[in-house]
Amino acid sequence: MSAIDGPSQHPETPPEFAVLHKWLIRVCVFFFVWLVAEGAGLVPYLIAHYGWW
Amino acid sequence: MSFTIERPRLRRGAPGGAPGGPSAPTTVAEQLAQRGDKLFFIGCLVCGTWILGLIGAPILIYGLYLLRQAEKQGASIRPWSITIVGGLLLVDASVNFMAWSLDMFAHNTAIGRTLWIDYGRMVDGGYANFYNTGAVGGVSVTPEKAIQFASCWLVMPMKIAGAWYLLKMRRTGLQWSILANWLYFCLWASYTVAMSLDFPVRFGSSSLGVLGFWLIGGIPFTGPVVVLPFLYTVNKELFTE
Repeated sequence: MSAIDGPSQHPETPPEFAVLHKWLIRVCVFFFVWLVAEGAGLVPYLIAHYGWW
Repeated sequence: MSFTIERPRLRRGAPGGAPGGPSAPTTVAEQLAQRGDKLFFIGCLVCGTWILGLIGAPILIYGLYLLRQAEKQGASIRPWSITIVGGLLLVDASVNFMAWSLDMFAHNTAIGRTLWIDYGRMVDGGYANFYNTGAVGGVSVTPEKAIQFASCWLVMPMKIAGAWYLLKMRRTGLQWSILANWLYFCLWASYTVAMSLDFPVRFGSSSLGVLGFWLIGGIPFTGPVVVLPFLYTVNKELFTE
């Protein structure tokens, strides 16, 4: 995760918010992976289960 | 606490480039980075269409791979956190723009009906019951249609443009992403209330029920709750005027 964490937070960010910033990025990674998986898999799944209309 | 930050070159108007114009890549690594960036952007948008998601995901992953290779070869690329957040914004906005536009404009096509009626059977029954019977076609749940109009015509194009400039490391992109995400947050709040009020006829008649709301509708759409604090704590000096 170190490559993703990166030095992107504001220099004056208090330490406790710096920790928050890192965790926000990790949650964003989770959401990103979730949305990509959903985007790739949802329609094939729907068609396999319910067919065409 | 202080950081020394080298400004990334993947942006318009970089030092050495034409003022306000794109800086031409000078090395093989930079060319690779530019190509990877382009594929990443296209992959995110295609992935969010849902219909072409199976094609979009590999393009997106290949774009990320090329960016990683370019970084290893010495290209100066933007922080990965910005790439991930920009990608999240793009895929999310594309789902709410392109996929939802199929319900708005293509509700009479086989692909539009297949996607949304099947989605209704699994997740939100509002799309399966009385589909295409309203005044403007598509989903017949009135609040859903209203939020769909606000998303497809206003907020999501704004969010895509903001994310594009965010990925270009422009200050405009940061500001518009913040604005668009606040609007998205308001839409999400309205959407949650609308779904809750119509819960029995919507999620009560779908296969997944309340689980479907959380898996598809609830969790991914809470993106702005996470993205907004990130955008407020990010170093603005990374972005050029």
